Amino acid sequence: MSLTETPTEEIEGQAAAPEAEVVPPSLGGGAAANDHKAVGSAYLGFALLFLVVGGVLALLMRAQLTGPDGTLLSDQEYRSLFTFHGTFSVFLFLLPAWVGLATMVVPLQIGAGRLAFPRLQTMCLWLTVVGGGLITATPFVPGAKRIISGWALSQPIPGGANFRGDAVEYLVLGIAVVLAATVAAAANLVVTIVKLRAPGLTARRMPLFSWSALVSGFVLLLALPVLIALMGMLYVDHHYGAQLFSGFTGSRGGVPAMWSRLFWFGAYPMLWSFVILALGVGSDALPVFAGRPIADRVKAMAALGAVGVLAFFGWGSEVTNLPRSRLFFAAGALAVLAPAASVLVNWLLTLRAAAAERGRDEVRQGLTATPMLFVLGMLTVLAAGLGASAVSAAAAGRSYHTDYWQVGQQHLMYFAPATLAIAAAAHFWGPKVWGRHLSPMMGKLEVLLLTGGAHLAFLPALVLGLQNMPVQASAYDAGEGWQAMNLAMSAGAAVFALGALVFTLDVLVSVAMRKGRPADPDPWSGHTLEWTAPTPLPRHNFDRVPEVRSATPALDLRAAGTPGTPAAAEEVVGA
Amino acid sequence: MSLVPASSYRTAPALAPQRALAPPRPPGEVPKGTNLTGVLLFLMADAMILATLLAVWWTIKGASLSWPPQGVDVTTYLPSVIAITVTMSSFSMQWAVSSIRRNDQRSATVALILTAFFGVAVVNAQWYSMVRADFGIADHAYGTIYLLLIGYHAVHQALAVGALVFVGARAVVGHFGREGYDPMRAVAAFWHYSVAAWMLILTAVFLFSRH
Repeated sequence: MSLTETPTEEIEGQAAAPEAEVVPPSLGGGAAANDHKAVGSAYLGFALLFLVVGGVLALLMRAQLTGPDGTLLSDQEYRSLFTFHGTFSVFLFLLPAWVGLATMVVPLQIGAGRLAFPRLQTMCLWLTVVGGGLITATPFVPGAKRIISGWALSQPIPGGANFRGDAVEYLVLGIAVVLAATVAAAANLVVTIVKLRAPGLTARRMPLFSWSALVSGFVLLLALPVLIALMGMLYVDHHYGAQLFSGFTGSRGGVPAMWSRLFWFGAYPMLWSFVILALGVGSDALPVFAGRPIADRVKAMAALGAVGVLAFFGWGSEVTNLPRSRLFFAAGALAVLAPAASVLVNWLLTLRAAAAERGRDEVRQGLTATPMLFVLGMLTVLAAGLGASAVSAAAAGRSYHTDYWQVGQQHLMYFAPATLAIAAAAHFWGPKVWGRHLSPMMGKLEVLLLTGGAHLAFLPALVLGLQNMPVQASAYDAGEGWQAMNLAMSAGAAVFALGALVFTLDVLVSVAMRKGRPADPDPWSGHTLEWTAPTPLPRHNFDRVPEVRSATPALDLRAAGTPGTPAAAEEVVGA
Repeated sequence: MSLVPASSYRTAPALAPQRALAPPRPPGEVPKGTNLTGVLLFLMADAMILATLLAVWWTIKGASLSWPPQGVDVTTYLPSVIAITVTMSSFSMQWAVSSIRRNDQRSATVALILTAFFGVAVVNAQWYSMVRADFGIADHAYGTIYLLLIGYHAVHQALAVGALVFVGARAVVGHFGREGYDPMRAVAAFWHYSVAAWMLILTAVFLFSRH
């Protein structure tokens, strides 16, 4: 019996029967019907596809650099791969993953049946697909060989009317379309959080993941338009032969140095928005498995907000030609690390408080749950990333931003935690949204591979940074002494890629092919509103939304009666 | 009709099951001010695009030897006429909003037509100033960013007129009243933003046009 055949009276007032056939939100029909769960899932699927594509490019680059004097790729080919690896990973993996995760989970967490503008999110999804198509076409269009500047497009791309219509324009327009879609999607999510919260769910009671989506949504709303404007101007430069970012300053030309400043003004906060969302995932998942609310809620919210604000003050640390304001940007880039670190401390304090209240053995048992293992793995990667970022920040504008330290820092701080957060969220909220558990055994393997791979790949990159290996080196001499660390990095990349592959297969088998164990409405004894909704989720999410009287409404219900069932909700609040 | 405003999902059939189950918030209904909040957030992002263009303008201006380049004549006549027109349109827009709030269809119709007329006049004047500029987009950095700034505003004004015609038509046939005129307020917010944007562009590009 499929969900659509279930009489609505049966769903109402009882936990869904575990043996009922679960229909995961379908990609085509579901997305066309503007259901936030289906649109979010499709967004995540799109992101996973480009995680794989970006990963394949990374493995090719690692194959070139594993040993000295690599001959697999020419210098131009290597730098081209380097650029597309970054472009795919940032604009087609991280951004769609942000939108997908937030779209899928936020309405459930705040007790809403929908997004504020449901059709807008579907439009954003298809715009992202169109933009992704343009970006993906870029390597196959004439002129692609000249795109070798890295994803920051930091050397202004040679342009002029002679190259009109070539690969550069595909790339620039594709990025602009994806960014515009992301801005609209983020605005939609912010409106949803601001206007559609359940009665009683005040700002201070908001689930921390939704709060992090609100904060990072604002960050994206302010940061991405800068990049959109830049892409527009680069297009004009290229297509019409204008010279805003090329030519000679002072005569007909513009100011070439302007590009990297404006680019990082937008890109730096954008990267931090992924960290904010990853911290949000951990802040909601970890307390559930610790069996108590987070140690200090107000501080966690303030810290997440502070990361969002301070993310706008460190951009200059990535720019190499800002000698006069280096101190200011070093301070800004350092300042943003403190609140982020305080969230990690908050997680550890939660565990300590749980051990004191419930006994070590109880808590230790919670630590072995698969989503919890993901959060703990993410915690170790975030800690390493914060350490690497602290050094980068102190060295604002210097060589740490042009050698392999940069590679290690960016992957440990932005890429790996985001990937782990997505996997954690899929294991944690998947049972609710898709009605199926991902495989716990595969999940433990994924944690091991993704966390171990991240450390093995990106900590050696930091060492290579200390040994002054330049970011864009496409080969090196045996005499440089870079072999050991490059070998370790390649091994780590392979392990991480294997982890991502296992995760993708896990999602395909457990959810898309419906082989996963059917989920109960509240498999983890959750704290927030989404766990009071029936599973499988009806189209409108909630038959009854319990009245919210604290930050942990599902805990309140469990304390008062049977957990997680709408019937219990009815008893408690007399709805 | 293919052009469906964001607010018409109230009648979207896909949400019908919700209605049968009597959830806490009536199906498809969003709280008051949702459209306005959405537009305000959009304008926040939009303002960042304008801010980036202005930052580029000031950066290049500061680095250039002569600004505007030799041979470029900056006149303030047409930009000032545009400024007066957009200011008047801002008032007529508020007149339209308050008429709709009072359920005064006749005044609303007059005010909406007047506002749309001002809007079209502004787009027309900007189009004229762009095609009659004595330089092309690739002649020098000044020309590039000048045309981008004017073009930014012309596109906004055109979009604002389009939204006004659409939502205004709904207002004239009586879709809105004292309680539900959220889409109208949203369009008004967008309209006032484009007025403010022109004042910024006027100040940067025409009033303080020289070194």
